[in-house]
Amino acid sequence: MQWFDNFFEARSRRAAQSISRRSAVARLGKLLVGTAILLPVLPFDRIGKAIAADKAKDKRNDDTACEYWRYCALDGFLCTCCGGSISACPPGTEVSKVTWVGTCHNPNDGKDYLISYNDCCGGVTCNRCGCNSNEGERPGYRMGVHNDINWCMANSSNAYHCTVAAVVGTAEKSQG
Amino acid sequence: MLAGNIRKLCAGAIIVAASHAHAEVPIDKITVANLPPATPYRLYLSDMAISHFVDSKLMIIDGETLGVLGHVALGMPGHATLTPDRSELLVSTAYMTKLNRGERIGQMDVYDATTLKLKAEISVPPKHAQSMPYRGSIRTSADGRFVMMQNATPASSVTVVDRIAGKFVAEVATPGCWMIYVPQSVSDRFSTLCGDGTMLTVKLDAEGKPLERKKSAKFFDADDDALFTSGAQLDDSYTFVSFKGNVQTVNVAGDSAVADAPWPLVTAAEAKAGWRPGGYQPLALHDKSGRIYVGMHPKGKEGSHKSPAKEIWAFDLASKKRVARAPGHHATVIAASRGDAPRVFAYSTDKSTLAVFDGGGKLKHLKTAGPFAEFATQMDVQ
Repeated sequence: MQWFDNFFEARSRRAAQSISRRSAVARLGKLLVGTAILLPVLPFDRIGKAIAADKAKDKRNDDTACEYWRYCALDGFLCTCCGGSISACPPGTEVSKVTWVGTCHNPNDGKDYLISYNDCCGGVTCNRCGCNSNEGERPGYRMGVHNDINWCMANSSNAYHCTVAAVVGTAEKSQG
Repeated sequence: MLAGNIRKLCAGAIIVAASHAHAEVPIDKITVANLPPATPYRLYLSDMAISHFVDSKLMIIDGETLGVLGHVALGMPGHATLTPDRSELLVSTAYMTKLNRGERIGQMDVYDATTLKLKAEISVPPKHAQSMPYRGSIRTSADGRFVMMQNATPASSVTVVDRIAGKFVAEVATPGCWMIYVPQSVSDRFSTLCGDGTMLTVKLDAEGKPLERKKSAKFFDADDDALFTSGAQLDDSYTFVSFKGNVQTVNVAGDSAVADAPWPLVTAAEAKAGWRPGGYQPLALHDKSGRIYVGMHPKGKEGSHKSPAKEIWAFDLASKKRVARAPGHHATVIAASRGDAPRVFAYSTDKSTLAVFDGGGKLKHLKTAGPFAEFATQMDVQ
């Protein structure tokens, strides 16, 4: 019956992937997915000149604070407190192969962005700057927007270290 | 020279210790304790131990004295359930051969529920959901024979183990669905809650392999008003609450699940004030009285669904009326005892405290103690 199990495993993987994708599209509305291709041209100014001095003190622009705008659906430890950055895993870890997403409002340009919360995997748990935000988060029946699970589950090391929050597109937001 | 001095010290210490022992305190014999006979208030608190979850754990607490009775290792990170006769604790988990790397070994661990000693290890596909503990991650059939365990790769599937034969039987694909709900009156099926607003019921054959699968009609909207997956069981039905405070009871005994009409916990004014359920296990049900207890917070909004309780509200399921309202003690995990003299237990994940209430009458607060566990998200009662 191994073929049977393999068949269902392959089919369920495809189904889950497509269902996650469909669900995200349904919830997020118009969605621009392109990750690396789109990243360089995103209309997003990283805490740059456009931000006034008082805004710079705003926790919504502090990527080591849970209130940072990209962290609206992040449940985990911030890689910015662990030797990594907002989009780089700390040394010695690897980027998770699978991920959940959030849709977060950038107060600096008024746009909503699709954020990929990749866990960084391997080694020990960082255990610094723990955050638990859940905007748009749903239980595991919407796996693509679920954050109560170890997203290092598909890596060679299942150990969880911390989480990054990479912009992967813009989105029109719908509130549940 | 140093060794000589240590020898003299040790000899002296032994003489002093011996003379004191004979005078007052009898010599101890070191043993290993068993759990005392269970009371209806024994608690099982499942903890992902998020800061080091290669090593998650179950804490067992006496719900009367609030003393800790013992621990069970849950692996990376595991989920536990009691057998229907309460004689065994079953754990769905995995281990990496080199702690945080190496080969991932999937298994169901079987612990004796009195000695807490490991009595069996059953090999399963290494796919169990490495999720925070939630009610429904692992369940047995009502007769205890089949054990169903939630998987995520992240594709969702359910592993079926035959506890009597002591072996893995099947992996059932459950795409887009999550958590396991078993009926009480039949043992040949389980249901699972799906993101398209339905339940999927899977009927098993005599060996535990999937025979039929049937979806219910759509009864909730995961976008607009999602259901918390942590349902409270009464016989063949599970009662859920939604993010916006609606109650939904679903019967899972048939070939497909049947949902009752939903009803609101909140009045229009309370809804306007943003009163919503919140937490990891926001709902408990007392079987004998038909009361439910829900952790509620005001000023709720999208994303506030894991917020701790400002208050705990008690409702009578039959009349759909609120019967009590008590301070919430920052609870995120709520459980109730069974049978006479109900107790309600309210655990706070961020404060690690446990508050106890008299579940009858006006939901009187009896005591609070802590700390318990590191980041527990599931609590079961004997």
